[in-house]
Amino acid sequence: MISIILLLCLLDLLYTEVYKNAFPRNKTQYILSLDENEKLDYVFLGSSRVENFVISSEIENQTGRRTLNLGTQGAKLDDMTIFLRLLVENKVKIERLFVQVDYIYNFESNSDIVRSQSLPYIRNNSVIKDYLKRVDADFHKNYYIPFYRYVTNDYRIGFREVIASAIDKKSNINFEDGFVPLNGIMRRNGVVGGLPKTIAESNKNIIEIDAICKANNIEVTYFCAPFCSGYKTSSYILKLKRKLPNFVDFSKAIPEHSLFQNCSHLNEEGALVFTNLLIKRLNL
Amino acid sequence: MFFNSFTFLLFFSVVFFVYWFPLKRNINKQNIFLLLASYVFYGWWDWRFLTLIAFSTVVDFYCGKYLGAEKKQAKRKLILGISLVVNLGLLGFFKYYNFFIESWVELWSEMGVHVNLYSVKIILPVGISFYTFQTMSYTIDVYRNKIEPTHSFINFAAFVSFFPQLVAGPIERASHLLPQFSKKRVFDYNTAVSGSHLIVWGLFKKIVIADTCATYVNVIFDDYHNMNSLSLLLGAVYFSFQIYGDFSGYSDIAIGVSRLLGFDLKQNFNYPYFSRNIAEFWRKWHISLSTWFRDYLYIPLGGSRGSLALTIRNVFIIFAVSGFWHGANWTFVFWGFLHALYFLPLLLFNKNREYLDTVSLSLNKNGLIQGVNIIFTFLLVALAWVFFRANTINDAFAYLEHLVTNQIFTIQYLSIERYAVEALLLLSSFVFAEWFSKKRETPFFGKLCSFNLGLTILAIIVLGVYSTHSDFIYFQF
Repeated sequence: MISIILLLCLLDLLYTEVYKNAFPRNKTQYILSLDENEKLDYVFLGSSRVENFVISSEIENQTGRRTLNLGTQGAKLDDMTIFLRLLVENKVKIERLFVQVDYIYNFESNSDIVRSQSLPYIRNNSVIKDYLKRVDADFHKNYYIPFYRYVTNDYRIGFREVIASAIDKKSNINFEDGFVPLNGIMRRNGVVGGLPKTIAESNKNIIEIDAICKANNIEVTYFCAPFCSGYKTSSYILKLKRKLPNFVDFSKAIPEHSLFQNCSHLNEEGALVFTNLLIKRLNL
Repeated sequence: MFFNSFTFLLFFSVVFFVYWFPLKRNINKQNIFLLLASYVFYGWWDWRFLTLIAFSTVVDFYCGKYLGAEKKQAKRKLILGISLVVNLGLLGFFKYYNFFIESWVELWSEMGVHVNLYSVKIILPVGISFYTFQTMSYTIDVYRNKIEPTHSFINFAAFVSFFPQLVAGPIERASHLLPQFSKKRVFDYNTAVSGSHLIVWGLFKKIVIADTCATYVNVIFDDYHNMNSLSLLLGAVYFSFQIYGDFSGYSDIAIGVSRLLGFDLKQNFNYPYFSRNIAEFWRKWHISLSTWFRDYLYIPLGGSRGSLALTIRNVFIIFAVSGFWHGANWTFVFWGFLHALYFLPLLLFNKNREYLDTVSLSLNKNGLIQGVNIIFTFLLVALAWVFFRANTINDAFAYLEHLVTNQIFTIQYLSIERYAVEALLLLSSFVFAEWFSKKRETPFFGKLCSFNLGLTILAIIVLGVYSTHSDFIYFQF
């Protein structure tokens, strides 16, 4: 039994060390790898509706401004807050921040992807520790039981991922850009549902993002990325506009179904159209 | 409560301590404690179904008792009939009621007649097929005067509900397990070590082999329309290892846990994928069920003593019943039927008693033939497993049709962000380990015992699948 405990401690140390020194394979690692005092002109935060929508390299080409897409699949406002806090903690200078908000305004929850990708840093990054303390139901087990976090999250930070990190296997995503294109065109009967009818009174993450931006002199803009035509958005968007004064609505900006992969996600061609719209409407 | 859970680790630690320390000197108290522990183990899943086990226990205990005392054959038959009706009635209701209702309605609607019969939402009690067969074997053996009825209700109840093998076997015979409850158990260090080795190897088979294969199998079977021939072939191979790792892993843990409590359970798997024909496969796969059907169904039907036609009929009956035992779905019945078809040529050419020895391959013609036979038998078995795994019989045929007609053999990248062939590396190591330990229970022997044990524990920790908890497949039966 003692030798098993020792083995777990040893494996924990080994995995953690690999992740600490790894070439970034996800956006959390990429943020942690940014140099202190690095300057970013534009940063986009959001879910896959940013990751698959905003082509940073296109913005850079057209404006000459350094742009980063930190959109992550399934990310909620809690995850966006942690990304912003990590950037600020790392003394990265940001000029303008763009946060994609839609129905996620109603949630004060987080994404399991960001949570599990943050776990290797639970013991050596105070921002991540605070974040996990707040969002992780298994925080104490993950913090105190050696190797527990790697075993219970084996799908994302287990053996396959640690080996890929150890051999510096590059991710398919170019994090300098952060954009991940989607292929294909939505089905004819792909229009499903709409935004909720009711909106939450407030969202603590929005309050926190506003506060961080104010304290660090960052200009923040909230926006809603496009949905396909037919998707019901109007009443919710109106309510969202009232909650967020610096909000830009793109929800109906792209009417062509051929530019969508599904009703909530643009395809690569649609992303290019949307990026050009962003440049124009946000004065980038 | 699952063997591969932290709850079971805690549960068994307490059981082990209480059983071997405060209760060490009193066999009756040990048996009462085992009975209580078994009911806690089962009740952890759903306490309501404890009444079923208790009812089955009471019925069979008294049927056994009256059978022992009764001399008149007609009355003995009646008592046996009561036991069979109660046991098979419970099994039939909980497991097959909806299947028969739905099949009946479907049959009439095929003929254009609308029949309005209602199915009932029935929860299948875990392990009902296992403990029902175990208790039935007791009354049948008492009826056949093969064993004496027990006079201890506690011993009998503990035998029926013995927690290591309660929910997924091995299906024990009363003649083997029941007397062990009457004997004083002595803690034996070597037995405990071998039991611990079996537990480690069983956990490896379940958490590393079966659960890894499951991640591939689920995505391949659920999306078989978009898979190419290579991925579909791999899907069938992976499922073969998933079900083997899952079920034989459970049996290993059950036998290992029993040994730690001083009990001996029978072997349930004997490296079945190294079989050289289907008959050998069935002597090595789920041995406790195969021998149950042999002793309580095949032989009473006449076995192979009658004409060839009668023997063939009996073979088809036991394979069909075996398929049906697994579940109320035509996929299982067809799986059994397919195995009967595989068995048929061996029966016709009188080859079903070949290969009673342990396989060993040598570099000569005979070795080559045996090697080819092993691969051929495995592919036949893997093909049949497609029916076992598919949701419907139409899905199974569509899967196989796509496998044959697609004819694209490129390596696909699956939606689980892995290449379809990746698990082959792990499976090759597993097959290698099994091959070199096929004359033993586990690969933990000889000079490399500690090294192999350490490596396996490391693999369980590092390669195990924990993020998606998978139940044991055979729990559903």
